[in-house]
Amino acid sequence: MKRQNDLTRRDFLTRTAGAFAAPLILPASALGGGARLAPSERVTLGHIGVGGRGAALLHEFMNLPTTQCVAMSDCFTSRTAEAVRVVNERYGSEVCEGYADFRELLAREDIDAVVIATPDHWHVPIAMAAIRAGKDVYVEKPLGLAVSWNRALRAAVQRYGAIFQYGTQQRSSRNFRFACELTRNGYLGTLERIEAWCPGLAAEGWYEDTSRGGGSTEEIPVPEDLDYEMWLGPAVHSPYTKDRCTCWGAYHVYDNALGFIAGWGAHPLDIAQWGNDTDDSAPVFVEGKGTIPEQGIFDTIAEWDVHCRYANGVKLRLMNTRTAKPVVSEYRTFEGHGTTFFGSKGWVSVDRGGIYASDEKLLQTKLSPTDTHLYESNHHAGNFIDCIRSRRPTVCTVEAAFQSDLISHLGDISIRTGRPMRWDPAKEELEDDELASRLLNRPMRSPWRL
Amino acid sequence: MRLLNRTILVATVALGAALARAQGPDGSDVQPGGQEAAPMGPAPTLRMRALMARRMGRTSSEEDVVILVGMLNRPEVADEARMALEWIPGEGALNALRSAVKMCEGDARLGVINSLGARRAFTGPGDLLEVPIDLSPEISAAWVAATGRTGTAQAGWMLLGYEKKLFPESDEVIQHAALECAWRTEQAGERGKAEKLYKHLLKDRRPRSIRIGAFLGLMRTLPKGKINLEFGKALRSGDPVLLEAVLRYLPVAENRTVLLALSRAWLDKLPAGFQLRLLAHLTARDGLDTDGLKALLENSKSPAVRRAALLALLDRSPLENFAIGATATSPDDIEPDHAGLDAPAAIDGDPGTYWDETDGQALYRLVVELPEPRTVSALSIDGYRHQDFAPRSFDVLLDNKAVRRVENARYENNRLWVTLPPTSCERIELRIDGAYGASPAIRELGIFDLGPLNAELDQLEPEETGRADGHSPEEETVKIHVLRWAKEHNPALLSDNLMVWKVHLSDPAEKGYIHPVALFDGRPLTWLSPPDHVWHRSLWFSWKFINGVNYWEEVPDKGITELCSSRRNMSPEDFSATYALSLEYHPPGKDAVMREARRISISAPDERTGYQITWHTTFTALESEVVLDRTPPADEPDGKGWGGYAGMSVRLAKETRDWRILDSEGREGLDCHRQPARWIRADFARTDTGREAGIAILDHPKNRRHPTPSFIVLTPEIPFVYYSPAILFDGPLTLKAGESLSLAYRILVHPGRAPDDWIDEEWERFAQTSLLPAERI
Repeated sequence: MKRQNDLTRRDFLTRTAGAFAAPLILPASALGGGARLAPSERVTLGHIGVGGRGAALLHEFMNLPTTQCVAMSDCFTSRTAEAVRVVNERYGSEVCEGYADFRELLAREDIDAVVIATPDHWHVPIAMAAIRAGKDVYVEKPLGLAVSWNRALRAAVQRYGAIFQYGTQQRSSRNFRFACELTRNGYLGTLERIEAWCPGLAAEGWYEDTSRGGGSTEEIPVPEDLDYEMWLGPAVHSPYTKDRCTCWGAYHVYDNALGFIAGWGAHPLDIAQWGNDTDDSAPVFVEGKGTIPEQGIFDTIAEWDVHCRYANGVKLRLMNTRTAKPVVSEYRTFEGHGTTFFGSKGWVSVDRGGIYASDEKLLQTKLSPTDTHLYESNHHAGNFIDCIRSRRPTVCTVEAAFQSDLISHLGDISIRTGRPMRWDPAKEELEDDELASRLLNRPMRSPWRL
Repeated sequence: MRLLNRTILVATVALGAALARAQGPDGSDVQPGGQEAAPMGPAPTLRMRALMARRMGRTSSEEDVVILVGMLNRPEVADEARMALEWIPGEGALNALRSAVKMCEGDARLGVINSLGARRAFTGPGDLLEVPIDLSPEISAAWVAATGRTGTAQAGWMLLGYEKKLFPESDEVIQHAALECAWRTEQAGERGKAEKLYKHLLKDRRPRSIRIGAFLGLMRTLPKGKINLEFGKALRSGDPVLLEAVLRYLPVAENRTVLLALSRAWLDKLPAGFQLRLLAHLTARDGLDTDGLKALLENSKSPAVRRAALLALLDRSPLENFAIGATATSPDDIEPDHAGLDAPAAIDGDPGTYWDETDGQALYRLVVELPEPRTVSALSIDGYRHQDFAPRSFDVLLDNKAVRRVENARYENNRLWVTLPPTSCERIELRIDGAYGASPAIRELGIFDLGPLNAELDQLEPEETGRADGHSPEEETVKIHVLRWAKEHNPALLSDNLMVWKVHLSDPAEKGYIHPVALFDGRPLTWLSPPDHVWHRSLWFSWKFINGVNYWEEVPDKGITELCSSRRNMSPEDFSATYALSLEYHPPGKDAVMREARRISISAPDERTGYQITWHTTFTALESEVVLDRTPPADEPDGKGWGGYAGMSVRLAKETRDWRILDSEGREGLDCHRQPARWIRADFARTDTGREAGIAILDHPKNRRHPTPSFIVLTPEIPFVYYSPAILFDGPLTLKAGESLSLAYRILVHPGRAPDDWIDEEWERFAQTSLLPAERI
């Protein structure tokens, strides 16, 4: 006797799809499913730079019910193609297209915003072009290769009324916000100093990879998959070498980046600035010491110890992980990155793994209604999309990005010139240091300009 | 120091080895890589040019300008020299750049103009008039942009005078440059001059971004008395660009009260999409007051507007949240997630804390018990974040009675409102069987009696949400998986870094089995080497006896199934794969008695139907006759109750439960044992996630002895769940010397419990394929 079917084929296909629409696939992402908005209510996105971090961001955005990712661009042909494939599979359509040249993507009028996760030297030029094309921009950290570039971008954001979100997603985590709220509301007493640390070029733990060395110097043919001219863009033209266009190379070659003093430093510095209530300002004094690799192509600051002082007297110390370990281990369990606020009554320290305090009771603090409650965002990408729709400022604005990135730049310049920097926050100039002032700018390779 | 720099420059021009001796002025600002200090040949290599660009600007002075200017004539180093000149402060370098404009060509000229722009070097129209603007669109665009950076109103007007007079593509560059001039004029405090430029740029059919920028600038520079007027004009214009500009202006407006009132007055006359975006401002705390929101709720014709007003009213009204002071538990035996807290966190009034439990469970329960009966008519749920890690589908029970089912919950600003029939109760329970993300975290559960607003909220529940053009509902729920091939010797497919399957080819002594066999969640559905039968190889093919030698078990003197070679073809496009294997069977220490050519094809995985593994194999007896045999079944001499097995086999993972073994003839469970069938399969659920899945083995109609009797083991307490089309169940099989035996199976690995007609359809499709001998490689 034939068993009676309790499911039809059609039911099966439908139900299995439904079953998979439940929490089965991507544990860290939202699944749009039946709750997606109509296309007219979605923010259309273009993604420029879809390797490594860019691919991760693509997932973040693609899984928001309020977005539709419609265009991809990368200097690596295969990355563009893969991103397009992934998106089209996700949507079950051919809505997404790939572009070898980001300018073609920006020319599309149907794109509301772009997510920029290219090598660092491209962040600002592409963001500027996108804003002129009427787009809102999500810009990965660090901000730009030069302070002058960052200044131009900040002006463009203001001039065109663009929504800008800086890729310092720690602001969208409760612990970081809470640490800053404790600090801002005086639960630590008067804020006296801040320690911020993050991995350097050869940091401890999972960042240390001695096999990478300083990057090969042997010139080799450019892979067919890569448009190297476009990858270089405004950066100084250098021979193509094996490690240059890798993720690591893009982080640690000074022509293309400041290194992790900015690339990773952006995170703890962003929190330091938030907690210090200096999103619109920067230290007035910066003095740094550091090392730079002497072999290979990697020539960004590898290890550093930068001491800063704000106009209000608060001191900030920015360190790489190895430098920070003995310092931080004195008072808390050490992790490879973090920010600590020291007040006259106690301290609070925060990293992605947890929040610590001089007194556990501090962490049980309930903010009063009259306390300063900081901007609450629980999803960095979602906050960007929400703000595009509402036109409200994001949790990490271009001004905040400018100021925190400035600290990295000043630290870098101080280390490279071997002398302290005195910064005038009002004029946004270095005081009495012509050579150092030059380093606030980087000329662009022709034909590129801001 | 300077002398040294000049040496460097001279050396560069001379292309000599002097550059190799280059050092920084104080050793600290120049950090040469080892490769850069190597002696240079006579040609200016790329390395040398990069070195120049990096160092010269930082170390050279006005005295070096002459040399750098000389280098501008050399195309191979001109751009680097120009970059150095841009860096050198003072009039000398600036004048050199000015002079260089006509001297350079191509990209070098563009670079010089761009450098002049970066230095904001143009002072007035005279500079522009000297520009050879007719040379090319690129050159003229560079000049326009550079002039724009001077930032004077005069330059702005002059640039606008060139509209439609240069190249077609120049106009937009001109407008952006003029906007920058207006901006810089405004920053310099000349608001009146800036205002006029902005007004001009706002007109006509200029690009959207220009007009928005101009509107924002205009609002910043207008006298206060005129701002409201201009704002109102934009609202009434119906012009989508101006409406967008209005939205961008509201957050930065100094005096929002009047502007919000104007917005409210015009709200119903505005396009629907714009209304909702404007509402985000109107319903904000500093937007409309309670009366304004009530008026909106009562008068607006748009349900969406009325709902937004209602939610804002709810947000501001002093509703009593019955959850505060109640007790919360989660009687579902699921461990709390390490990131979250226990159930009380869901009702502690602190959105910073949240209730969360282990990912991927089938049913989560949250129970709130009130100190005394209350009339409950609505719940509010704050999920973890943005429709991510939040309840998606659930039942609401009041005093153990189900009163509301929610499917595909749509959160607005991370909050979900659920209306209920007003009920007096003490116990509120959520039974959550679907989540966005991996688990349904709740920051805050609010329990309310909304009174008369309850009916309003119920009436204004969001309409069925729209769908992407051309998408069916099923397609809408398909999620992304990032597939890639694992970088290891054994070929394996990863989805989102979770292993879907792996073919074991690296150990010649193994049998070429597949483990894990999983779906997109990477949780194995099969068991490799279970302790009760360590020779079980997940999904594999093995003979029991060949010429009396045991090839099945890990016993002394067992026969050797040797994987001699393999070849693979793995598609980078759709992630399908084919493997060709050559195997030999030989008694220990003796020559092979039989060869096998095997071809395993694995289809690209599909989210809804899983994937297929097609297993073609051809056995060929070598020098002499080969007898393929098994432990005899109980009804044969020396038979055993467990006898009859060998061939294509599946052993299910220990983390499975609720098995249903089914065959093509409608039998279930052990009734399938030793019964011929076109296919045999099992559906089951995983014990850890509750997710259902199944594995079916289809028997090709041209297989010898098709339909093949099934061998079934179903012992839940171990668990020992094994099934196989057992080709030798009813008797041994002999291959004469040189004779071949070809067999084909298709294994369907699918999510959910599959219906028979789908399996039948897949079998029919498989039956249409040829049973070609697999070729030996």
